Amino acid sequence: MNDIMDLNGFVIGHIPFADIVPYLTPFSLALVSTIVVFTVFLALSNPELRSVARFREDTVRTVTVEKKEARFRRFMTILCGISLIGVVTTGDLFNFALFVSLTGITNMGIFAGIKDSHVLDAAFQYGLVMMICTLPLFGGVAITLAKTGTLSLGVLAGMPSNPILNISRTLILVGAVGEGALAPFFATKVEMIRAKGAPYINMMHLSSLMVFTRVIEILFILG
Amino acid sequence: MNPLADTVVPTLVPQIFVNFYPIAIVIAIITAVVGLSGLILERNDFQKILIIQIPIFAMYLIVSAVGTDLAEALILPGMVVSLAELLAVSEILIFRELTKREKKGESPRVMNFKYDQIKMEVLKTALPITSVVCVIYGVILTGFTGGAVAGAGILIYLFVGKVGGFSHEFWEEMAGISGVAYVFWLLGFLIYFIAPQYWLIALFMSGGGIIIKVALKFGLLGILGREEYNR
Amino acid sequence: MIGRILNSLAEPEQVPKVFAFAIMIVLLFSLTSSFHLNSKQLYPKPAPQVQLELAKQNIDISYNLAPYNRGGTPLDPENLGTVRSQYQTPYEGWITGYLTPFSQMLRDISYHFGTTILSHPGGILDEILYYTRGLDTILETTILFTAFTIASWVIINRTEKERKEEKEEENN
Repeated sequence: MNDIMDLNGFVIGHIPFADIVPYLTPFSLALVSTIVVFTVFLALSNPELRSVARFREDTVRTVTVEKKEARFRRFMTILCGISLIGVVTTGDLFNFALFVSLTGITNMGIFAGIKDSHVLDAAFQYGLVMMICTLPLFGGVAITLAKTGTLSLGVLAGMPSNPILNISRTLILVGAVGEGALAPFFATKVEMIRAKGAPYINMMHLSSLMVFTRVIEILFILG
Repeated sequence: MNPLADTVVPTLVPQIFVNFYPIAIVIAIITAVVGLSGLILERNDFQKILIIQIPIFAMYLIVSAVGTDLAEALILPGMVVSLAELLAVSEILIFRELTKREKKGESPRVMNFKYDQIKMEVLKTALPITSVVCVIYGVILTGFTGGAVAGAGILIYLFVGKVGGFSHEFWEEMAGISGVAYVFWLLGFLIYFIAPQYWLIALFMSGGGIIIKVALKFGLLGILGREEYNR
Repeated sequence: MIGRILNSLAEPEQVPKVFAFAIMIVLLFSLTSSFHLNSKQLYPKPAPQVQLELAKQNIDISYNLAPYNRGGTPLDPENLGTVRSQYQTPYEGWITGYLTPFSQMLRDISYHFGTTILSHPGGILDEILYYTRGLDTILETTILFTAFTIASWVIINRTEKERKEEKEEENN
């Protein structure tokens, strides 16, 4: 198996919350700073003013997000940023699964109140995928726990690889792909992006990117 | 250590759990496959939400098959995550259906059919008693579980029908209290990590805070639902 | 042909089905390998009924907590409860033996209330959920409250809009 040191450099620091030990390496530090900058940028920016032109009408309307709605979405965006910081720094497998779930649910929350049946339909399908995802995500974690007897990534990095772990790796990958709405399953996401309120929906792309980066690192640690 | 130490907590997992593990996993996989194939064949969106519970049961099976105290502790977060997702997704489904109806020009009300209230003595007496029992038992349990049980009791109480005494303003006040309770809970955790020698006060702060928080959240949801349906 | 398949995949409605199918394939594939439980686990549990049998013999009153008796007296560094955690900390095992007055009463009555007592403050699960894996619990409730926020916001949003429309109707 791959040591954490080989994968992303020396460990700058760790926080010992008893069994759960989040750690920071140069690699995750870069990811954390990206997330922080992006989240602050999104939290400070105003919602877009979209102009809609129609055929056979001589007017251009502007559509904007209501103030209340924008506030709710901003809250969800900030929460998503916090959970992403957790995703990239956590040092425990089960904790990782929980953080990924939180990312998924906040992503859905950004779209929850939009009165457009296409967007709502896509959000609902994404929610269904998210609910199915609890099976592979937590199941994969539990199979790893049964095989190795530990959940800490620091200890798991020193364990030898075996076929059962490959199954749990596949399951964790599938789970994270669904929860973060990654590559083959982002059809739901494309539909959701038709929603108005531009700056906040960009958080979804960032969350996909970060979840994917982190899950690849965890797959390397496991096998 | 006393001579019974190994029966208090063994160093290795007992053989019985090891023997049962492969069987449990195979059963869990079969359950999951049945549930997932049902999901593939189903067309109704509401039914889909219900069928997804079957793969989630399979997840509980896989986690609990490990058979340690840790696995027992891990089931609770898994359960809560699936419950939370169920809550959010079903709300979005309702909202989507309403939006679709509005587009078609139909009435956006959820309940646009008329019904006569069933007049049965049992419905008037048994449900409040059940809810009171739930609340009392939840208070005895305390903690997160207790909060869920007490909250279920409050939900039943609110859905029974006409209840006097508690106004909308009262529940808004309660929402404020639940916020304070959440702060208590977090402070309890903080004391655990910073000054563990004061664990008792931390325990009571977190235990008491979370029960008020969870129970009142359920209550708040109940009042929202009642407002919507009884208008 | 391929274009048609790809187009049908782009429908949001197909996505959960494709996803469920993928998981099904992975799970069926994994049936071929032999699963095995590693007996070196964290926080192991005694075999079923062992503690209950001891409780019936009246060896020690603490066995009335069966099957969740983990020994130890609260707040006593000399007599810690047995907690086999990942990273040992000096404060673990402090609350495994803790009982509220009410649960003490339950313990004295009978040995059948172990699971009920476990739900009170104190005990092994609180040790795990609130101390050694406290971050998990914080996260779990955060997820639940996020879902509550989303649900109640959607409901409030909906009812407010409807009320506005009703008022407009009345005014008209």
